[in-house]
Amino acid sequence: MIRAEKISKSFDGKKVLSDFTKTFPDSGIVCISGPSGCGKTTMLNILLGLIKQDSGKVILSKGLKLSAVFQEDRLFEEMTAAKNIEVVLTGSKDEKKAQAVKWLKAVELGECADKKPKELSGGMRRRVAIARALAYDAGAVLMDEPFKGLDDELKMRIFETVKQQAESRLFIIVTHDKREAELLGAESMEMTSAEND
Amino acid sequence: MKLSITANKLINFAKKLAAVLFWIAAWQILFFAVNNEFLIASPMNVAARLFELCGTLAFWQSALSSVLRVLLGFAVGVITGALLAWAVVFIPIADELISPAVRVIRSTPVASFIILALIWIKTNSVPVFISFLMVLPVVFENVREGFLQAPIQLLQTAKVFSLSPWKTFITVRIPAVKPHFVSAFISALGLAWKSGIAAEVLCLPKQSIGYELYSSKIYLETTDLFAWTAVVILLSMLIEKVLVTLLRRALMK
Repeated sequence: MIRAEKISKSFDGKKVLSDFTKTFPDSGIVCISGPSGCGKTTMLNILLGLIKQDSGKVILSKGLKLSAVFQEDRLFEEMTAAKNIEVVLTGSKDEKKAQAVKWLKAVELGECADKKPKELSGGMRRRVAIARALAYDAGAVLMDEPFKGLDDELKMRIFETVKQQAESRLFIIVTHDKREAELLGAESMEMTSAEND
Repeated sequence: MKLSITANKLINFAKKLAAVLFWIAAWQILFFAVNNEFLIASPMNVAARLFELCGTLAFWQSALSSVLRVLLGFAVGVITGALLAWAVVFIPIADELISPAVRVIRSTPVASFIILALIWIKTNSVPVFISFLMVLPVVFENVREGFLQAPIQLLQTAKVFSLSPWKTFITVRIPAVKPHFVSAFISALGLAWKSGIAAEVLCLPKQSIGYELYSSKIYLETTDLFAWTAVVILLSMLIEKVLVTLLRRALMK
């Protein structure tokens, strides 16, 4: 379980989150949408522990690990696609390699395992970031507009993987496309600008 | 495609050759204008002297010992500089302790160090020590900068995926340091070489380029002085070419 309790955050005096409260379930998909600047990314970063909130608290059930697709791809440029995934895994070398290839195949990048990020297109890089987030053994996967730049058909196939994964893990997905929430069969949540409260 | 690349290479080579010939011609004209063998040697005589030197064992012994001394100081300086930079970034208090000391080394005139070193240590080791001292601050500053400039976004990524400190170091910090390290390596190499030879001129180890330079000055052998200077320049270019190529290859693998 992830619970955000009365979280507030300002940057340079501008309020981005104001008393944000939300309990997320243990599994399933929650899609968050809202106008740009309404604090979606900030909220994810607070849940991930990368930004400190001004007030309020984040409660994670004990031992819950979080995984993420960030707003940017954030790949390790000197490593191959497979290595980018292996680096977040534990286990023997062969196990890690097998897992990495499995997840690359899940995002239809099986042939690109040995390519470095700079040899991949924007959409392919995005998919490596998605594969890495899915491969990491975490109870919750936080994704910030993970599907941007992917074509519709491919997106639909990746949705199937996410849905299947969501049976046992929680997905929190920030998206500005409300159709995505419907297609994912997700709980949809709308955030509003804190300034307007 | 291939043909045009070869053609381009030929044109570039011709351009470089033309530039070299131009400067040699300028040198020749200057030689005629000054018309004094003690002040400026003629290019022909220098070339002849160089050729002659190459035939002697003593020449190779001097050149090789100088190169080895400089490279030893350089290697120790690079390793120490990088280790200190690492310490400063990752060990608390190390910054306050080490950084001012390195700044002092950086600002102290080479000549002061050479004279001090002459008092402290054996003649043959002085050039090694001087090269080391010149290299250390350059590598230290650059590598430190590289460590500090590791992208915060990737550090966060490493944190989210709970990479161990060692894995984070390898995947995020080292790639950030590489370009800084390469530029430090190149400028430090030039510094090590020049200061090493300068130290040799002041402390005169037998079998060294510095000793030869000094002797030619004493005996007003301007041609020798020019020839040995040419040796220094040629060796410097050669060493840089070889080491930088090796380094690039090692880092790009």
